[in-house]
Amino acid sequence: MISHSINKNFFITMLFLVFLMVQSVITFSQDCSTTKVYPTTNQCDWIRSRIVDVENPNIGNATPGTYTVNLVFDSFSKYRSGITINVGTFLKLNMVDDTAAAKTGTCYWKLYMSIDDLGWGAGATTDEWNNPTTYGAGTTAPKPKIEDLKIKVYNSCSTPTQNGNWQNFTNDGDFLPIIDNAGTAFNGVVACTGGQPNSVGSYLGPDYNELTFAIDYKLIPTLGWTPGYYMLKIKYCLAEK
Amino acid sequence: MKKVILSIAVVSALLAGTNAKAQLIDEQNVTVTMDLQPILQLGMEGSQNIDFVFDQISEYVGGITQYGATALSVSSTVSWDLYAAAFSSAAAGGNLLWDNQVSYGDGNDANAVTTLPLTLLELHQNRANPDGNAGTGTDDDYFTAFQTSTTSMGMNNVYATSTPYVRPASGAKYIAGGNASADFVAGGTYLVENGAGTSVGANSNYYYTIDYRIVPGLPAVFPRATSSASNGGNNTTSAALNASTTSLYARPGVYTANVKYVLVEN
Repeated sequence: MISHSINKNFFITMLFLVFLMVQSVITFSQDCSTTKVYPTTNQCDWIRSRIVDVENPNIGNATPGTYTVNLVFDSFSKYRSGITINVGTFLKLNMVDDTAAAKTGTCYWKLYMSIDDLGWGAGATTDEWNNPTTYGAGTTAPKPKIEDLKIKVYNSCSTPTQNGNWQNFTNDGDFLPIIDNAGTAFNGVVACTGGQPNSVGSYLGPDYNELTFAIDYKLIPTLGWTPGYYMLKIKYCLAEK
Repeated sequence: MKKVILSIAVVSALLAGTNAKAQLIDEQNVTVTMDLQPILQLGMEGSQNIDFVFDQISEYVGGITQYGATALSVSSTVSWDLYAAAFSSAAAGGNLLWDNQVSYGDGNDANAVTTLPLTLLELHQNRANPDGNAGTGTDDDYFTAFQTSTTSMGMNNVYATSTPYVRPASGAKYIAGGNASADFVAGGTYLVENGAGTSVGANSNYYYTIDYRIVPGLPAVFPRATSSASNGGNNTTSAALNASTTSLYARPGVYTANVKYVLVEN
């Protein structure tokens, strides 16, 4: 009797641990999710399909290996002409079908970016940068807005939604699509045939030009902004459609 | 033991199934930082040594004027004020006087003094202060033309101080801007237009030329040195030097002073 009770309790404990582990996996997978973009299928291999790498090529003020792009305005000429970081970020994708899943179709996905002010503003300040410190005496001058940061996404096959066009966010939490292909799935990833390829492929193979994305950053300050240190976080999100 | 192994196998199978059925979401983050540093640049053209050599009677009587001896150009990313402050070693010790480097003659005349007030130096700027009056009246600046004799005293006397890096008080002269927070010139540069309808270069509010004048008089009592009027910019002086009731006069010699041009964030 004692042996049977111990075995049953052990088995229940193991089931509970499994449940906890599954829940933690789901929680991790939801970092980039909102009700707007939550995946509805599960055809992609979630281990092998991912943003393989985010490079910050050391151009201008970009700091390699730290996923940080620094815009330092320390001369008048930079204030007047602004700073442009070409290929401040470079994304590489690897998308693989999940052969073990019971599929009705194949793996297809969307890629987008969102802005995060790192908990700075609520209410009236959701359009501002995070501003941990100001310099000098004046604090009543206007501050930069999130919309002042311009972002351009492109690749040599011109697949992004707004390929080569400067875009901007407006408020904390805003999303901008890179590959959305709204309403059309299974646009196969083949060599530069147009559209927004959103199915399986790898930047390592012949799909390099479709599955890599270069991102430029630009900001031209307005004279009279409150001097200080400002921060934003850009999330690059890959989600199954 | 068998049941333990079986349980582990079950758990592993469940995990494998869980991995295969997880929906794909992946995320990478890039932090963008922006460091907006305040930039205030004051350019100065012209000699850093301006000499007034009085070796003729006409120069004592009429004075010496040096037109356009200094040109000031401003580039700033923040709102700013600009002022001139006369300073010397004596001023550092609390006496707003020129420094006497060399005295000529035997020095036996007690009426020949070396205590010359800094305010005997007069300035004139080529354009009026764009905003230095807090909306209350005449801008306090050096824009008034040089006057003769003892007319309009105090309008051009340089602001003299023992603390040149402390902005002048309300009512004191500024070249541009003023003491009040509402008196300032907006960030910009002399290099380009700063808005529709504005000028560029030497015609803008970011560029000033400064004239200097000293009138010793005969005897050399510097009759235009004054601290009386509010437009004198809170100057202080050794008033006895130009009082008609005394017999004091400036002892011949070499005197030096320092004029600091200070560009400061509003």
